[in-house]
Amino acid sequence: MSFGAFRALNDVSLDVGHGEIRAIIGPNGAGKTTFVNIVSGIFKPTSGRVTLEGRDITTLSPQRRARLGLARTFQITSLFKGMTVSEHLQLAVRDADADGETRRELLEQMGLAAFADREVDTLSHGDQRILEMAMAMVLKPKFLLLDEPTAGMSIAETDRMIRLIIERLRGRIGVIIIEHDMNVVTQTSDKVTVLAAGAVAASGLPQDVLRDPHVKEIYLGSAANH
Amino acid sequence: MRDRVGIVTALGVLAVLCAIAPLVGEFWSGVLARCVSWMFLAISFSLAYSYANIPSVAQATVFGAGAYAAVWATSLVGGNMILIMTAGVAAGALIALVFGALLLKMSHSGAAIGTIIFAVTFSMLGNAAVAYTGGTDGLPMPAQAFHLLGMPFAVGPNIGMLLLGSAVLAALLVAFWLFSGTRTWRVVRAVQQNAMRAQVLGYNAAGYRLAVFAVSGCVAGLGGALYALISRHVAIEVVSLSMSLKSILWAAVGGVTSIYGGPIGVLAVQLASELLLRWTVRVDLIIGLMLIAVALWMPRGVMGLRRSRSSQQSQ
Amino acid sequence: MKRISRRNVLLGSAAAATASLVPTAVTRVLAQGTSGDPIVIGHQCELTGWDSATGFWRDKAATGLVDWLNANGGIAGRPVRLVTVDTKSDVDTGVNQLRHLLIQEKVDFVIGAEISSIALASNTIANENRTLYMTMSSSEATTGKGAAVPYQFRMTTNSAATAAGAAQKYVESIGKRWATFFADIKWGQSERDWWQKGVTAAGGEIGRAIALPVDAPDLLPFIAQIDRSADGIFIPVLNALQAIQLLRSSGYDQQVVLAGLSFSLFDYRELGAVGDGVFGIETAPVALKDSASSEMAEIYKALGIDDDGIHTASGKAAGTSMIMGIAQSLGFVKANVEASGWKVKDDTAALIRHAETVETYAKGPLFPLGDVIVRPQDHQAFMDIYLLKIAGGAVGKYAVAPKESTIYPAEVDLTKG
Repeated sequence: MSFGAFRALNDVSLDVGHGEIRAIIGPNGAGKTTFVNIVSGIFKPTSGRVTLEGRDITTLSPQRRARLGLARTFQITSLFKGMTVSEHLQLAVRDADADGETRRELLEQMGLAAFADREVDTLSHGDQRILEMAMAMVLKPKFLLLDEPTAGMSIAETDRMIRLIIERLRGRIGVIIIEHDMNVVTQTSDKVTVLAAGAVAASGLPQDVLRDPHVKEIYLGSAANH
Repeated sequence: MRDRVGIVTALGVLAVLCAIAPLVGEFWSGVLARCVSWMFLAISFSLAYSYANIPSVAQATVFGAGAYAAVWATSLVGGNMILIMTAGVAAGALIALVFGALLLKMSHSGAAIGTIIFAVTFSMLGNAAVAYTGGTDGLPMPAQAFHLLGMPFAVGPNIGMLLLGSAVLAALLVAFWLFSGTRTWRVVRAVQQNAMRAQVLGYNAAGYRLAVFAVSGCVAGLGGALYALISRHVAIEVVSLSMSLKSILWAAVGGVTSIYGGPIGVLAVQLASELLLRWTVRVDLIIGLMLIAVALWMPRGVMGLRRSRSSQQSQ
Repeated sequence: MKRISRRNVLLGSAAAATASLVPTAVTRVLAQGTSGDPIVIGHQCELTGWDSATGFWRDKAATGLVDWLNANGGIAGRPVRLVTVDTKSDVDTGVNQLRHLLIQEKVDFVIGAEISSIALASNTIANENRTLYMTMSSSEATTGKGAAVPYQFRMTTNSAATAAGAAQKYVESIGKRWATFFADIKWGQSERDWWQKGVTAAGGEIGRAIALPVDAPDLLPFIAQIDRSADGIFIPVLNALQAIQLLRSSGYDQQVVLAGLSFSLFDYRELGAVGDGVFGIETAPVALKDSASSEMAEIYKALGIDDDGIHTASGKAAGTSMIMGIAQSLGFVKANVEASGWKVKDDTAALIRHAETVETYAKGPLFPLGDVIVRPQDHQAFMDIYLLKIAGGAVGKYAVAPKESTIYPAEVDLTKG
């Protein structure tokens, strides 16, 4: 993937299996969100392929990918003003006849049932992020891309999100989670990939990768630059 | 999601127009009939701007296409008003589909400039293609025995056309109101607010925007056909950029984010102009000042005023 | 005339905001020597907007000449009341204003708009209202097929008549080979076609006509296409001043003829030095010495115009074709009201039947430059056409094309309805 003369991602190859939660970490500007945008179809890569369950989806539009079972959330909360929580879930379920019961259950499970008829603008930031997550999950996706799901959350809200990811996603579908919070990474992911300057710097089990001196160097170097 | 106050207000305005028409006499009935045809144009701008996310400065071109199509259709099929209005709708949809398909390839601001180029180009073509448009002279509506659903109908700036235009507009607004409670309309609003977000939920954002823009074209085209039946003459001025700017002013005064605001905007601006003309030639200056005041103190138009008042009360 | 350009529209809007202090409804009754109910004449006039330059003259002429009429016995001894409304040079406003005159002011007669789209949209309405509509449009289509109506007469000239009359004279005096540079709008195309017919009929020839798209930002690429071997260039374009400047600076030294009534649209003195030698076509000369008419002198006096054709109060050069059109329209109403015994509006049908029998209106106070023929078939008047030429900073009479040479075939026959 390149933007003009700048190459955002170079030779990044990632294979995430069914039921696996893969965290992607890396300093700012490493290309994490670009990677998610390429996978979800918002950016087209200049070269390379994206496959979902063996099917090549590189040339498909974001909506086609979504219909094939690829869901995502956004780093910045992207809800629709003036719509209620339950309207958001109805939107997310593309099938008009989808079971209302499932939606209500999901709201219960995600702790949003009390807000079902409230407009999203009135929700707390944490609840808004949870709703984003619920919208992705109600699609019953085969694969989920979570772009910094805990960004801006309090400690308690972050714990709630961690629990949701562990209880509702682990072992069920493939997930890529972009995260800065190492606590979230270690608690939720099966594997971690470190991106730096658009390339894979390290990959492996969370405890191994986070102890890797090279990875520490990347983060320290990044911190020194900031 | 359905704006009950909005629909009641808009229908109320139309009902009042029809009720007072016999009292205000022939002249004002004609003025109001023409205003009703322009309400379609104002509404089409609101639809394009607020729901297709296309800041269209070419809505008058689409309106004009409907008006010319009505004149051509009358020459071809005679005075069947249903067919004439259908021709207006079809012409509006066609032009909007062509414009829309091109505009969706542009950025938001690029699309605004794109619509200006469309408006100017069509005006230029209309001026040059005298055989089809009558150029600056315009085209008269052929004299025909006009009929609606088998009944003879007198076209022109009269109370009959005011009632017909109001009835069609009321039906359109009610249809819109019913539609605004549906899932599909929710998707339209989602696409309008955040196309990318809607796309990753599986919706074809471009398709929805094009469809809404085409509907806005149908509305403008229908208004154009009614305008042609009321004015019985269509001049190239109808497709001009300044006419489009007028439609934006109407929509802005009524409240551009609500399609129910269009009728109020048209009435406020046009009736003020008509009354001011009786005692001054500085109408445009006064209307200009009025619009500056609206922009400063009522940025969301008449409909927005209602919302901000209710939100103040709730605080 | 249908001179529309975006620039004009913008300028017009600015002018509308600032220019006129005149109220829209100007009513005047000056009734010395008259008695009875006033005859009400509505004037649908371009007081503001892009055509307000010509509207200025029609308004001045109508107001001044109605005052003059009232001071000189009125019409059939009755005073005349003038009600002037502003079209804003906009078709929808113009039509609404006409309806205001007809329905609310209940005028007896209307002097109509000059902008052809307004005039064409209006004449049907006046016809339905059975009100005589004296159109001031100079688009020949106004009295043509599909547009001519029984209640409309035109006492001014039009594109077909001016081109037919002038082409012959100019081919004789300037040369046989012509180029045309025209605005690509209805008016320009119409002038081009009639000029072509006139030149061909006079034994001349026309090379390729160059179309100037409306709103073209730069005229030069189009001017460069004009045939350099032509003897004369006929230019019905909106921005004549710029066109002439570019022609001269591009080395074209041919004789230039402006389209009919151009000198009523702008003050010829705006052309400055490049205007020297430029020809125009009007229904009246500007300086009184060129008309040698005591009636014209009387009109100039009534309107506050000096012997050189300069309006004293505004300093503007007179738009003589506009003044003539209004004078002759009022003359037509006066002559036919008096001769047909018209008393009330219901008598208008009889007035029209009478008018269709009157072939000639003899030279007189409101026909100051000579007899005027009115063709009953399409209600179109024919009058002498003045070919003018700018020389030494003043516009003077070059030649006169007699009215007979301006007659072209009628497209309709209203007498058979």
